[in-house]
Amino acid sequence: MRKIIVHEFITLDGVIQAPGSPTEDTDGGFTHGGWTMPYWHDDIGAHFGQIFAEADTLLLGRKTWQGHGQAFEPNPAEDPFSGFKKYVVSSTLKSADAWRDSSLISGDVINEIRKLKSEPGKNIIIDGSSVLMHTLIANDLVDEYALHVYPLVLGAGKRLFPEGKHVNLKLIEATSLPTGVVYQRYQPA
Amino acid sequence: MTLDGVVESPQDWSFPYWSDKTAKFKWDELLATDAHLLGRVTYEGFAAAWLDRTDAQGFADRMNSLPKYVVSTSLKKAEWNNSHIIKTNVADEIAKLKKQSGDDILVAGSMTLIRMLMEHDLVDEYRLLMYPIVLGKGKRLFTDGMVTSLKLTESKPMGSGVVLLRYEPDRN
Repeated sequence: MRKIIVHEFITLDGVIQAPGSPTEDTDGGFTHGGWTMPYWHDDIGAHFGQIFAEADTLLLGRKTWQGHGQAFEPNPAEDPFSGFKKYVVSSTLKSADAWRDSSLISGDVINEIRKLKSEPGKNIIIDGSSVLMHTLIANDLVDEYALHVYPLVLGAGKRLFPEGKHVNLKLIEATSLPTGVVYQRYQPA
Repeated sequence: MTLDGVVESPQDWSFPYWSDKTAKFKWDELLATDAHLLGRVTYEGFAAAWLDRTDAQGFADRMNSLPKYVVSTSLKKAEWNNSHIIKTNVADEIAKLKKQSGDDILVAGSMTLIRMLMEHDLVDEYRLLMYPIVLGKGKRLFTDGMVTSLKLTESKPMGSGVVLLRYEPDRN
């Protein structure tokens, strides 16, 4: 069975909102967008490279999919997900034409994702997508968490883990980078 | 602390992950400490837990003998040996305590107190043992509205899935 790999940039207080830029996601009046930027290190790219090499599919919520699609559909040469099959989960989207190689999952989400996992192929990556993420975590569909933990407390914003869900994990790796980021990987215990 | 930031009632979830490395870390930390600074709730819990306890290593003896500073506006008497109540001018009193010569002042639990210490920039180091568990409920160390930048000084797997993360305030 293929694995669903969650990748997130996350703060010490569990925030995952708008890691890459100030305008990425200002929901809830979030003003800290772009908080990962001062802490970039090439090893973060290398960690992505490892995750990408073992995957061939991207699973995203609507907002994250739209963000990636707007950025990469006009610039296929710069698309890090080129060659990946994309699935966007949304109850409002009419089509998934806005980004190449995308398919829409609009109903029966849990079963559709279970089906996806049972198909032959490499791993399935999910990043951002806080709403979809909560659904996956709450239904025990995540097979690995790859977290870049930043030395920051933001005090507000969308969080990775949903309220009310207990999960036991085992640590697979903990590696610190010179910029103060710790790469921590977990799998369900 | 859990992966979702919860620090409440560690006695309910941390014991299965106890390891020799964690034990050594807590012992070395206690040896480098010459005063405890605690909020009232944690103080009362610790006093009840440690007062009559002994162990071969001497952990309990040291817990019991070290000076304790408890921050509380309501506490009338602090019965645990060598306890002092800080009632008013809390930030100033703690700043004064820090200026005295001596070893580390250790704060454990004490979520309300820690928030106040952070607001007054009185914390010099955070030592977080991050447990491989998500609880989905409970009080968090970092509550809404707290914003701070830190510097990582150490990260170390402690066995059994726990990661020690040490940070200092990034005052630049």
